[in-house]
Amino acid sequence: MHSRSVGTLSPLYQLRVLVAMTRKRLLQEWAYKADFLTWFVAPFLFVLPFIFQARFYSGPADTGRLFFARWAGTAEYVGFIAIGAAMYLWVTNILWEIGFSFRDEQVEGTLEELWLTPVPRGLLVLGNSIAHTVINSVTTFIILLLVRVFFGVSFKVNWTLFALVVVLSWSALYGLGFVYSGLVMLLKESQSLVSMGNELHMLLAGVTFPLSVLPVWIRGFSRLTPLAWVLTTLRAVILEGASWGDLGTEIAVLSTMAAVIPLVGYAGFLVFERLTRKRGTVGTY
Amino acid sequence: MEYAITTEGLTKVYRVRQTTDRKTETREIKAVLDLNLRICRGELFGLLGVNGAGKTTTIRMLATLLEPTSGTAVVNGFDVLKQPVDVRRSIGCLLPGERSHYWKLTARENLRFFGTLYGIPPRALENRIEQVLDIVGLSQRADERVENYSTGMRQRLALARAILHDPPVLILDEPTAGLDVHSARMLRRMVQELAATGKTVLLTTHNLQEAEEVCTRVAIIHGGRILAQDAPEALRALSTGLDVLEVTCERYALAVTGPGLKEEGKAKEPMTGRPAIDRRMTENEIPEEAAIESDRLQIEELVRRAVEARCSKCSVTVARQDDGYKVVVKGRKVADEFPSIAVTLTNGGWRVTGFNVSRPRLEDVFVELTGPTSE
Repeated sequence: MHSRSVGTLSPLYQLRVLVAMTRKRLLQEWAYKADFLTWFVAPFLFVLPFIFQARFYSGPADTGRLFFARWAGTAEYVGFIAIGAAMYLWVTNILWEIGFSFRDEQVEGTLEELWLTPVPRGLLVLGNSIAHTVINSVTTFIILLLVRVFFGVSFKVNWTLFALVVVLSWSALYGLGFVYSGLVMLLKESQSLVSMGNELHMLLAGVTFPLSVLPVWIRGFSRLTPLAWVLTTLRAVILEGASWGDLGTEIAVLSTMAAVIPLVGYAGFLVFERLTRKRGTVGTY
Repeated sequence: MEYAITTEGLTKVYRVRQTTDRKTETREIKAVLDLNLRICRGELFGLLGVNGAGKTTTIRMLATLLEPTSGTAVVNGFDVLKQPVDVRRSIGCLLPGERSHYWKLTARENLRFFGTLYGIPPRALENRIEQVLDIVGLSQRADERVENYSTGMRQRLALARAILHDPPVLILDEPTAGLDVHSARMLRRMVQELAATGKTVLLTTHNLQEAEEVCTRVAIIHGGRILAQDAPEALRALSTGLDVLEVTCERYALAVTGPGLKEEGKAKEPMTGRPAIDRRMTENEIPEEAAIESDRLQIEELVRRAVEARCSKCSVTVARQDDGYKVVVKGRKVADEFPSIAVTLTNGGWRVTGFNVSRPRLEDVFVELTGPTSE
């Protein structure tokens, strides 16, 4: 049998599946060229209002900088906000892209066909989101580049540390994405879930403001939010050139999250996936 | 006997919430109940039922898309609950609905994508894609986006995808639903050709003619239960409906004496020496009622005598028709009695001018088993 010529768990097979799924997503995106363009333009437009709003609040001759520095630990408020907004987009887009990639398949009518293949379910989740993760990462990088060019923000990046934080963030995000993915499969229409999730992230992660301005009891919840840790760590790495020694706690927390959340997330995904199969609604639009 | 698909007490019960008069109740819907199937390797098996009978639920359980409430199902030797990945590798599925492809991709890109997911190595995959495109007759349009395809072409592409990894078992859910006559015939032919190569095919349909035409065995499912399963011919025998044999005959000659009749039976048939038939009968010479009744009784007596040995419960009616008489015999396997009837009538001076046999169809059996209403 052809299907047995490569074992479904061999690394080569898994790599081929990931490449095939990424290629398929890119071909689909390319078919809607206008949408493809918005992937790169819209994020920058999202960030700009926050920056100008901050400029307005910074007072005459940027006198508010000092006040801002007392709360945020850095006077570079444009960079602070740009990184926050860009990373917020990065995180939410990846999260919802993972969560909704199966919803797209459900709407299109192809999810059952995917489910009929011998590919492990976790690999299907990964494969369906890699294309957009890459696109999102590229757009985030472009945003940061544009902020540097147009607003003169200087970045002092420790690239090794930056790469580690990004990898740890990815891992934690994919863990959350697994849960969302299973939940969306089960519940179908979940726009309200998305909206609430986004607003909560906006608040708890301190996307456009330092967490220190939040009431103490809300900060408690922030500590449980992976995005809050991702933002705090990345701001320190990009804006302040923080070293390994400066970020011991953050790296430890992120590492724990990166190890635990995917396991819990995947278990949650399997529970929701099984519930969906029990209900017989895998392909239900 | 080696089976490709077996089920033991396979059951699926859905729990549905229903709100009536401000009260929410959970209701159980028994979609499939205690299903026992035995499908042999190489068989083209039809699951026949009306909409909502449980066909698709059964298919989805066998394809691992739906978890059974109880019971077991084994496909190609693999348990659907314990070895779902092996089951998925063993089956090729064609599910209803033409939106099962990526419309913005070409047929070839669709097949390449699914072929990779089924683990076909890249070089072998390209050859296999060419093969299956050729089988379903889409080679010429393989590089067009699926959105430009007709319904029939999409269905053929779905079949190509189902056979792409060369699975031993094909599960086809209503493969010809929504297709025009030509496309449906083409698809049926393809399915028969695939079955001829040794693949086991489980096909669901509510098209009785289709089931009768292509399936070697059929199971009739209704209300989630299998009501009968056998070869279409054997299922037809389950019908309480009877064979109907119609025989038309006329006298060799109008030798019958009756009021107002002429004696015209002088000519003899050369071979038999029997009175030759008179074909000059005109309106004026139509026998009167008494003569007709006499003929009718004679024919009925002859036919009864011919069939009484093996078909004592057969009903026989004789009626005047055109220049002769039409005999209608109803009974089980009454068609087998035709030679005896023909000989008896001939010996009695009646020339058999035609006959017709109608047998119960699968549709008659289906309606008898499932009742007159469809749902």
